[in-house]
Amino acid sequence: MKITKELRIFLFALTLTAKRKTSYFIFLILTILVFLISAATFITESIKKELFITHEELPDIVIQKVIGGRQQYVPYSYVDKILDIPGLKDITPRVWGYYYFDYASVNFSIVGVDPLEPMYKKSLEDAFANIDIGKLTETEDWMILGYGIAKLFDEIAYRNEAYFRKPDGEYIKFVPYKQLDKKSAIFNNDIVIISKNAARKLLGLEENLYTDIAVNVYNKNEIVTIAAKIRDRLKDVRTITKKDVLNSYQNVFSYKTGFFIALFGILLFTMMVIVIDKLSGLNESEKTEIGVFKTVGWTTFDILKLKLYESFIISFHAFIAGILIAMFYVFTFKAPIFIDMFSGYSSLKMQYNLIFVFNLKIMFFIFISVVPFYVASVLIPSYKIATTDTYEVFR
Amino acid sequence: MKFISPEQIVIYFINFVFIFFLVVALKISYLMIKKFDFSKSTSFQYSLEKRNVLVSTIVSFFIFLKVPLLFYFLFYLDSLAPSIPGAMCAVGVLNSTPYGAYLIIVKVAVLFMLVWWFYINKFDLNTYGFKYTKLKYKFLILISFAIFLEFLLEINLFNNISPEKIVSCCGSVFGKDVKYFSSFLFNLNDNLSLLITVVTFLLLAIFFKTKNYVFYGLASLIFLIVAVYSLIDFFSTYIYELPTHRCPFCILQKDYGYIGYVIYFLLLTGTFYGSSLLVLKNILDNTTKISWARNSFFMIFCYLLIVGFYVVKYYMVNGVWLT
Repeated sequence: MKITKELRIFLFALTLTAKRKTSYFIFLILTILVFLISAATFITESIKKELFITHEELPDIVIQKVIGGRQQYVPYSYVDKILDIPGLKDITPRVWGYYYFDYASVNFSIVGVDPLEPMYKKSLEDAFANIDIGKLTETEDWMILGYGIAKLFDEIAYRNEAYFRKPDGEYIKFVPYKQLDKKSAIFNNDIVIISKNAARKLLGLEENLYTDIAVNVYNKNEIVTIAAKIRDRLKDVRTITKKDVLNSYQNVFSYKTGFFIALFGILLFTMMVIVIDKLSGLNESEKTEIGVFKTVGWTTFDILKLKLYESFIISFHAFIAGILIAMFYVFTFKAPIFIDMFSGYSSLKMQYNLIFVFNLKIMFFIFISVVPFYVASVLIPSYKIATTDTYEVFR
Repeated sequence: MKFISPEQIVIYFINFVFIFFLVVALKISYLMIKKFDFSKSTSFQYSLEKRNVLVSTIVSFFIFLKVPLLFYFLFYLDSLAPSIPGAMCAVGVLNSTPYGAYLIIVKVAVLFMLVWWFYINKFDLNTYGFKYTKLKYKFLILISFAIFLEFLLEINLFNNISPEKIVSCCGSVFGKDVKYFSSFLFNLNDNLSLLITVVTFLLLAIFFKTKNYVFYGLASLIFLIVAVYSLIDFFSTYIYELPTHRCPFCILQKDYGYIGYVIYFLLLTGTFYGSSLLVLKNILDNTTKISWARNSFFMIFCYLLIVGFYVVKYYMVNGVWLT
């Protein structure tokens, strides 16, 4: 008996909501809010997931020599010192660095690779797929361009050859050998792969010196211990594990979303003011309505329930609509305009694919960041409406 | 204030909304305690009775929000764990500051008190002359201060979470070394905590049979504390099937089939109904008392069945007890 009464109030609220003009107005505001917050969350979660996929690529431990807070080049003797630590899978001294390209004001990642050595990354292996390695060993002026750089060089007509400046001011010529396709852009958008010797010249690295050392480990549970052992043997190094990198990425994106939410808070409180204002202004017909309810025997609590059901219906629909629109916007249209807020400004920055992510945690976050505020703003106006005196209305 | 992540900002915003409503409720409570007089028939008295509707709506709003917010809070702390060295789940994060343990206790206490208030209000509205009005508004003032305290603790917790300091994970928090959380724990022997739990449950059964509801309520409050201890000390090791893993939070995670939500739901609602028999002993009528006692006993019994099931299952599969 009681359930049918509740249900009837609910159904009645449904018809009332569809009838009212204000409900459409509030629906619109709420949808926009839900859309904004869910678009931002979808973008960050998707980028985070992408980073999570790419971070599988990273070596387990990177060893950097640090003196006085500045990174130094690592001598080859360091490799010998850690060679006999048990559990190590491979140790690769790497030659790489950044090259500032004046013309477009961007940084390239210069990666020196000996095509005859095993690669330390799967994406590098892929870059060398379908290439005649024998040809590469003959010369030293070849280079393999990442997708973003290939596009840039195409624009400035560096098609058959490109010149890079060495630290001593002289220029060194490279011939593009291969361009990586767009699919690999998530890993190597801004990368220039050249031979190890050429990279030494370009980065001003002497023989026997390396940028850093990449270490892989057999048992992933041992990473932290092995990193500690390495620090124990090589006194002046810093070890960076895979997890450290992932954490710092996550913190950056949390920071960006946090910034967004702080702005979003202003919107939220504006919405509250608008909703309170809209709901408190009762027009004559609504007043009569409540008067009629009360005369036919509705209690204050019944009317309160009716009002809260109405707001629930509006917010539920707005919630669903907002999330759906945001999904289309982010995952189908790849979030134009919005994505720039989260991905930085450099033209050679990573191209994000925006992988589809959807889980309960995201839903929960969006729900918690909009619905309580809406319900809070509905509370006091509903109470005022519900306690309106019957005789005052009909007077 | 230190901001770590977006979730935290949302939690602060919601707390501001709570505080706004608390201020409204406090003002009404003051008026109620000073001016409420059922025998008068002034328009002011009438408006006071109306305001009761507002306060009860606010309290229901709080209850409906606090429950998901508690889980949201734990979710959030869980997601923070990777950025704090040593922490592997929410416990590590809570334990990284001195405030975490108190915060969880205050959060559960606030939830209990809010629901008690809700029921006092419900029964008050059914009495002639609203007998318990002054009592319930005094109680509401107490609740508001508890919520303020919760907010302060929350701010302190977030401000003290530091990504540099190394904390311990749940395995060691509830193990041997004493720090923050574990300072609440007496060094109970595994089997002793189990024994106390069973004894308390037997007491509950006796009081339930003899319909001694005041003592039943007292016993269920004790049972809540004892059950949490034994969950940490004894039962959780069987759920994780690992003698060193003692943690009341990890059971909430996916690896254990989210069984923790069922366990905590049964334990908290069961002891809530039970303890209401003590706290609301003058307010509840007899039929409600009987049905609540039945609910409470049933839920506590189910709780013991579930946690006991894990122990028996472990013994059936492995043929040994964990010690």
